[in-house]
Amino acid sequence: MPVLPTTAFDKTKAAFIRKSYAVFTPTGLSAITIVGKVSDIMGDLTVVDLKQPDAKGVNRPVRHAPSEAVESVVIKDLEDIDTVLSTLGGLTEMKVGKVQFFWVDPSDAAGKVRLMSDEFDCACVRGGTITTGGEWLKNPELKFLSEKLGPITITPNATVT
Amino acid sequence: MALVRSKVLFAGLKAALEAIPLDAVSDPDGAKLFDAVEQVPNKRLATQMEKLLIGAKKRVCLIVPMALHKVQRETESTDLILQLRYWEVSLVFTDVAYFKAGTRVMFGSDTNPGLLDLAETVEQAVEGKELSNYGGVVFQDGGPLSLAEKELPETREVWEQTLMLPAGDTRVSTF
Repeated sequence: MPVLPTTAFDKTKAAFIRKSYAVFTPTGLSAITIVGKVSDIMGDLTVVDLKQPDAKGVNRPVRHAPSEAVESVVIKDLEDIDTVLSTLGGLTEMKVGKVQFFWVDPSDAAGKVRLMSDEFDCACVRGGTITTGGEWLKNPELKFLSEKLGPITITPNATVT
Repeated sequence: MALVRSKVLFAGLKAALEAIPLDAVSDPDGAKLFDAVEQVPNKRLATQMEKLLIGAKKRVCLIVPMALHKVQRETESTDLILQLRYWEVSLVFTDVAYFKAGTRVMFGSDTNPGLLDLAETVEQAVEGKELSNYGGVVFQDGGPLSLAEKELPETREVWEQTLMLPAGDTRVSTF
């Protein structure tokens, strides 16, 4: 007879991120730190399947294999237009380099950060439509498109200095 | 729960207020804006201010805890509650013209800054100051106030400024 799990939900594992930091080092230039409130950690994995007919002749997938992966991280809702411009040199420019992300929970203990990526090769471009008028400048985004030959590594509760 | 202890917050606010220079431009290391800053409960404020002013104190500031607010964040999970905590605090302050009446109290003179100037100096120095990892001090409404108590002979003109101090968060699972 199957055993019903009774494990309680551990709310301490629910991450509450209030700040996202991107430390971007364009090739040949100094590191730039970008601070954002919102970020999207994007990862699309395309999976192909192998199908076989079952006893009734209905094809069913019996094996899956990843065939393509695209990863990126987007720092969104940046009111800091100066950093967007100085990072890229223009709103339709692209810079290549290396980037590392830190996602901070305000309750993180000293020397810890809730999530941290590895430093990976990337291309940085702008996203979003920049809206101005009567309030904070809205919507500029910086997209960091992974050029790493392998998946981005994200470590929870990472040790930092 | 990841609350920021109230004692730590209020001590940080007190230190920030005590550090404000009277003249940040020409004498930043000179006299302080307030001769005395005290944390007090919300009762008999006129009497408490009077006690501070005795003893040659000129400009004094009371830190008065008013209420602890919890603001629930909109999340997709209704079973995992996330609330941000804020301490609502009133600053009640006055200057050398505490015992004077009329325009000198509000607008100052050659010998006293006046309540308007005090209020703006406090706002410039403290608004946005981060006393915890949860963000900066938020200033809300402020304005002149007359303090009166039965045992005192006259009303006291002060400035009351409401602040919100980010004080951590609450995380509760209801499933």
